[in-house]
Amino acid sequence: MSPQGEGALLHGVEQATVELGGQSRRVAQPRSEDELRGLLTHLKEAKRRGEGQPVAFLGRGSSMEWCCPSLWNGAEPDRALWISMESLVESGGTGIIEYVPGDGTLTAQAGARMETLRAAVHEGGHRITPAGSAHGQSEGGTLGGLLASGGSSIDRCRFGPTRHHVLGMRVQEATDRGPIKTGGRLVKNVTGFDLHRLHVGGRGTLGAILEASLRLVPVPEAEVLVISKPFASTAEATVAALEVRAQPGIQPRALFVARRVVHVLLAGRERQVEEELSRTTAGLDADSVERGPHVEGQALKAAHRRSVVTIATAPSKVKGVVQGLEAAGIGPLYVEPDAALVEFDEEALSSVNADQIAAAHGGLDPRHAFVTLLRAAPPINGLRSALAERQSPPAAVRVWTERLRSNCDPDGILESADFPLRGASNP
Amino acid sequence: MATMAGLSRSQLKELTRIVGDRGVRTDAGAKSAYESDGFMLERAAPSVVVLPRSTQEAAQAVRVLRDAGLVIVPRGAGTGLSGGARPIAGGAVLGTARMREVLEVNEVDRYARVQAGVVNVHLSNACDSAGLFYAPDPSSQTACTIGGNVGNNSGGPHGFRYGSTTRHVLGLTLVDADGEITELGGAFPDPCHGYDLIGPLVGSEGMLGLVTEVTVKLLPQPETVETLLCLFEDLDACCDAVSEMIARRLEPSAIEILDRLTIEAVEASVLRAGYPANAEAVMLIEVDGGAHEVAATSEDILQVAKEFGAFDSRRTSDPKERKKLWAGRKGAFGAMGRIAPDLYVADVVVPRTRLREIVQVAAEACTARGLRLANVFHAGDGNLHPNISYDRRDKEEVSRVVEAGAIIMQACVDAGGSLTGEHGVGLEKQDEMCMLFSNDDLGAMKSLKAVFDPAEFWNPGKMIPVRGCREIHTKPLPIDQGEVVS
Ligand SMILES: Cc1cc2nc3c(=O)[nH]c(=O)nc-3n(C[C@H](O)[C@H](O)[C@H](O)COP(=O)(O)OP(=O)(O)OC[C@H]3O[C@@H](n4cnc5c(N)ncnc54)[C@H](O)[C@@H]3O)c2cc1C
Repeated sequence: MSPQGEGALLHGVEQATVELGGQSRRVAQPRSEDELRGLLTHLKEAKRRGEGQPVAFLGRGSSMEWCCPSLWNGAEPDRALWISMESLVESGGTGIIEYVPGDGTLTAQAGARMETLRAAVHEGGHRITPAGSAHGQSEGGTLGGLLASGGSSIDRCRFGPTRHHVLGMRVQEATDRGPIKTGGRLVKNVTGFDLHRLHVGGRGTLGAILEASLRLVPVPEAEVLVISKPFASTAEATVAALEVRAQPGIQPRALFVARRVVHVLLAGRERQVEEELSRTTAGLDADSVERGPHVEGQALKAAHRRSVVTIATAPSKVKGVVQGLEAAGIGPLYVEPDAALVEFDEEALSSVNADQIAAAHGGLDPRHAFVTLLRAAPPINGLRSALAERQSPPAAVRVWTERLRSNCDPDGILESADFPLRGASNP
Repeated sequence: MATMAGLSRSQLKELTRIVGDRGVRTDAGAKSAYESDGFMLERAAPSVVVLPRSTQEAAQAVRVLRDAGLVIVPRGAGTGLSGGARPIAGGAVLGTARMREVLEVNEVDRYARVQAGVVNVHLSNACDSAGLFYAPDPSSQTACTIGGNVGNNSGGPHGFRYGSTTRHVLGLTLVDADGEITELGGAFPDPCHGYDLIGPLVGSEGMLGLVTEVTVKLLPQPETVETLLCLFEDLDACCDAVSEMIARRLEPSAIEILDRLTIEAVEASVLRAGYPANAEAVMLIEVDGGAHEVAATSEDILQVAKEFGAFDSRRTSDPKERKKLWAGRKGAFGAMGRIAPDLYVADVVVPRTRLREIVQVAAEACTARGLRLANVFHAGDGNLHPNISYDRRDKEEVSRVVEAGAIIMQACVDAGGSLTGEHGVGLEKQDEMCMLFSNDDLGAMKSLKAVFDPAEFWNPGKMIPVRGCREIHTKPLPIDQGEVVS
């Protein structure tokens, strides 16, 4: 099928050519859930006739580069059809379905813009966790995109990963079923299976998130950002950050190392924050201490990165992983010691070749380090098959995953080459 | 559903070889001991109870039971209150009572790995010396197991700040219907391979497989802990005070309410906590964290309580006093056994802005039916437990209890609430699922069951209504053998 012009209809759904991520892309813009369902039915029928095309749900495209790289950066961008979730939000509307300040919950359409939601709940004294988008980028995404990408943010140190704050959803699978509801809008609820957890981080491959409900966190009374002097190496900075983590009586909202500098975000009751600040600075040579409601944004900016690789490990192994990478010449590194994540971007690879990368990878103990390639970059591309070999999911997980996929998307219209990982023996 | 057959003599012998003599029970005593869980309105005798000691033994036993054509109900301590662990008549019970080992407590990485049969409070004790704690603390924590907590996604008073079990599970070992062992997650913080399968497994009520080991997150013990007791002359005002505390975004770790009848029961029992007899309602609050945080939050809480009419309050950080105050709350269900032969523990949840309204609906529903109602609940989470006293020998009274229960549930659903906040659906609320979910919603749940358990081998016929929603109009009256449900 060739690209169609502005306003053309695809099974009753408006289609437009939209400039996104430096490419012209075909975007279907359903205006109602019925239209979306109709479109999915049409795509299923087309697939059954052997006229399938690659399809993915689209927020605002801010995470597509790492959620859906094959399709986003693929050789035939005009073959892919992107289904906009933003178009389901009434024109001029916020996408907010219900914000209950007295209950600390928010329900919004998937296409709602995160900055709109954050502004709305801020008025009621709340914040949304995750604090920013997955990789510390400035906002620009939608609620559905944020959840489907599964990213968490710097505040997971205090609040845990994003999935723990999703209370329920409405989802349109690629089945004959209508939209399904899972969970609810309540902070506590065990009625039925928590199906929504499958869609958080599911990259839209099990269906379109239509709405989601979130547990909110209070705007803190006081906030302080402590920024250390730069350390000689990321490993040294990591050790300092791990000491902050281990120190009793400090509960950072965010704790990370970026460009050899430790960042500690403290938040909460005013006097408590001051107390934690003095404990933090007693052990950490601070370059600056900033106070005020703007410091979370400042921390997000400092955590901003375009990671090509993320390594999940355990806090006790972080230092070893960092040392190994630095010894191989990879750096600067981004480290969250509590979540035990080590990441780096393309710049960190500037002075290493593929062999050195392979050697560094070989030095990681697969029992304690799970490596994910987020973006393509020449020196790491060769790792893909080694990773598939070393990090193959258990056999039963593959079976369950296949069944899940065929239950939610029997015709395979939402199939992705990038997710979920299939492992070596099931490429 | 898997067809029900029976164990041959050689299969029984094989089971005994796998789990030892003490691990296989087919005697009448065992059958009657296991015929229900804490939801005693429904009973069914299993044909065999199997109690493995390890994951390997459990996996081997599952293969024998599968070959024998028996369906399996996983079971922890059987304290569940919705019938989740009630056997399927003639099927097998696979219990974790002999899987009680804490396998690892990792102080640096702040996790513990335990066998599923470890009793909740034993885990807390095991990590105490490392300066860590396991946050989910159901009131039944001296008996219930971590596997059962995973099965029901259990909460507890401190769930207000720390969340229910699902926020604390890092990894699981699951034995599936083929007797295969699969490890999911682990000490790593994130799901690695793809979909978050642990998410729906927690709270799956034993319908997707047997969990044999669990890796849980541990938290550093707070520096300061204070327990507050606020006394009210009026239950409604007490509820409103809680709603206001939430609205003011105060962050204690627990907010619980006990009403007068509950206070009387507790004070008349061995668990006397020193709750004053002149209060219509007490609010029990815990605040933890750094010393300044605790001081500031406690003061704000006391202020709100005062504004809403609290006529007295206490505040203590003395561990002994705190323990006593909590013992009263945690033993409240048991204490209520004194005030009537039987107790129906309802478990519903509403937005925290609607607490007073639902408490009133429950009071009216019970008064109109001549029933005695006691309230003790996780107010901070909007999780109500209206407890209705009755005598199971009085069938007419039993039907009034069921009627009142249905009214309360409907009111919660109408207020944007849900059927269960922590006890699960099990058998008890299976039909009521149609109040909340459409056939499509339930179809998606059935699909998930089929992903893990296509042959309907694990705990079949629970949670998801067997008939379509349109066919279910009324909840059948309970069968006549009720007992204390607590
Ligand atoms: C006095 C009293 C107070 C209570 N207070 C609370 C409270 O504060 N908060 C709360 O949430 N609940 C509470 N409960 C309910 C109950 O204690 C919890 O649901 C508890 O988690 C059940 O644990 P158990 O080991 O008894 O599990 P069981 O009752 O044996 O089983 C519960 C469910 O989990 C499944 N299951 C059990 N073990 C496994 C396993 N290893 N693998 C897979 N599935 C399994 C079972 O099939 C069943 O569906 C209370 C109960 C009582 C009697």
